[in-house]
Amino acid sequence: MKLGGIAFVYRMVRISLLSQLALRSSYYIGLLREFLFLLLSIQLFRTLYSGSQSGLDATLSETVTYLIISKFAQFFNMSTMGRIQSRIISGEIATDLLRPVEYDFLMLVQEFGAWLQRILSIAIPDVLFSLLLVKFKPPGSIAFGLCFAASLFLSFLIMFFANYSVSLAAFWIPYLWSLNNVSTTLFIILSGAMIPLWFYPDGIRVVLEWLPFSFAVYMPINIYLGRIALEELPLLFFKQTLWILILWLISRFIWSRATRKIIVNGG
Amino acid sequence: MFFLAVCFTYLGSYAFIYFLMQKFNTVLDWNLHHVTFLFAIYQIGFGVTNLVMSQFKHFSEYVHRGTLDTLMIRPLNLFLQIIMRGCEFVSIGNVAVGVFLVIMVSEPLAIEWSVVQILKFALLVANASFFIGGIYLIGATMSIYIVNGKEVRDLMVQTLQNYLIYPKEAYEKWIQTALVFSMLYFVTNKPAQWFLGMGDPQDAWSVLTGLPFFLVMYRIWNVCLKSYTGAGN
Repeated sequence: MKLGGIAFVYRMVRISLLSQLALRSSYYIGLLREFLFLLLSIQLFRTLYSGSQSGLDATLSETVTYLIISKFAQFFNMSTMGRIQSRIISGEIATDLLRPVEYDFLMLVQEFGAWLQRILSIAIPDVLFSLLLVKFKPPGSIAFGLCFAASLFLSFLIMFFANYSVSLAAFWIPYLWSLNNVSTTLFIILSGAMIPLWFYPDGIRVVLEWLPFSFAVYMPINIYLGRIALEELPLLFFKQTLWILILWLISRFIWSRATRKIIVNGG
Repeated sequence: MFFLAVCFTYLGSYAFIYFLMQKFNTVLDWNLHHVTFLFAIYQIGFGVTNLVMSQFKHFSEYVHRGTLDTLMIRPLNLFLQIIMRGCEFVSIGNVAVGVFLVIMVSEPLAIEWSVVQILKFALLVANASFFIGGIYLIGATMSIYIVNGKEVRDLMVQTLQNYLIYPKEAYEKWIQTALVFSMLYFVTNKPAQWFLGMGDPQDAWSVLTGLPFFLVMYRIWNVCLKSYTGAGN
C-alpha cells in the first residue's frame, strides 16, 4: 500500500475513534453497564454451577473466562447499516461513489476504527475490572494468545462482511429497522456472543460450528481457552479465511447489482 | 414485517434462557417455567409501556433538536403532548411474545385462569408497565442534564430483562440490597412470586408499588424540567 493510502487509513481510523468517544457521558454509563452486566453474569453462573450436577461441557472457570474474553469479540452492532441507509436516503451515496476507493474498503476502515475503540475503551477496561472480581484463565500459552489475537482480527472481517452484505439491502429496502434487528439477533444467537455454544443442545451446536458466525466469536475464544489443539489451528484459520472470502464475494455480487440500480437526481 | 421482527428478536432472547435452563435445570428453586413466566411478564409490561410512552425513548432527541422547546411553550400538558406524538405499534410483538409464553407455562405452573386470577394478572402487568414507564421518565430526566439519557434507561431495562428473571438470591447480598433499594426487584420479580404463590401471601402490596413509583418519577421529571433552559442545555 502506498504511503498516501496508509495515511488515508490512519485518518479514517482516527476520525472513527474520536467520533465514538465524543459522547463522554454515554461512554461512562455504557462502561458502567458493561461492568454491571459482567458482574451479574458471573454471579449468576456461579449460582447455576453450584446447583448443577456434573456432566457439563465446560468448567465454571472456562465459562467465566469466556464471558470476559467475549467482550473482545462482541462488535456485531456495527454502524455500517445505519450509515449506508442514511447516505442512500440523503443522496450522499453519489459522493461516495466518486471517491477513489472501493466503498467496502471505506466502510471497513471506518468500522475498524470503531472496533479498535471498542477494544480500547470497553473490552480492556472490562478485563481489568474482572481482575478485581475473579481469577480467570490466562491463554493456554503464548502461542494460543497470539493465535487468539490473529483469529480475533479475522473474526472482525467475518463480522464486517456479513454485516456489510446485509446492509446493502438498503438499496432495495427503504427502512432497514426490521432487517437490522433480525440480523443482529441471528448473529448473537448463532455466534455464541451471549452464552457459549457449549450450553446449546448438541445437535444445534454441531450445525452452528460450521457456520461463519461461530468463527466470529465462539472459535476465537476457544483458542484463547486452549480448547482447540495447536495442530488444529491451521485448519481453523483456513476456515475463517474461507468464510471471509465467501462473504466478501457475496458482498461484491450484491454491490454490483446495487450500483446498477442507483439513479442520482441531477447526475 | 415489523411485528414479526420484534417477535423474532425477543423469542431469540428467550432462546438463551431456554438453552441455559435446559442445561442447568434449576436456578436455586426456580425452574424453566418460573423463569419463562418472569420473562413473559416483563415482555408484556414492556410492550404496554412502549405502546403508550414510546416517544419518551426519543426524549433526548427532543432536547437536541429543540422540539421540547416548542412543546413547552404550548399551553397543554407536556406529558400528554409527548405521548400523543406517536405510538410504537410494533410493541404489540412484545405483548404477543409474552402472552404466548404465559400460555405455554400456565399448565406446568398450575395457573388456573379464574376471574380473580385474571385480575391479579392484570395488576401484575399494570405494575410492571408503571415501573417501566417510570424508568422511561428517569431516562428523560437524565436527558435534560446529559447528552444521552437513554443509556440510563437501557441500563435499567436490560437488567430487568436479562437478570431479574432469576431469583434475586442468585446474586450476592450487596447486589440483592441494591436491587431492592433501586426498586427494580418490585417490577416483576417480587410481584410474580406473589402471583405464583411462591412467597408470603401478604406480599400482595408489592404489586401496588408501580403506580407510586411512576408518580414520583413524573414529579421529579416535572421539577427537573424547570431547570431546562433550552435546546443548548
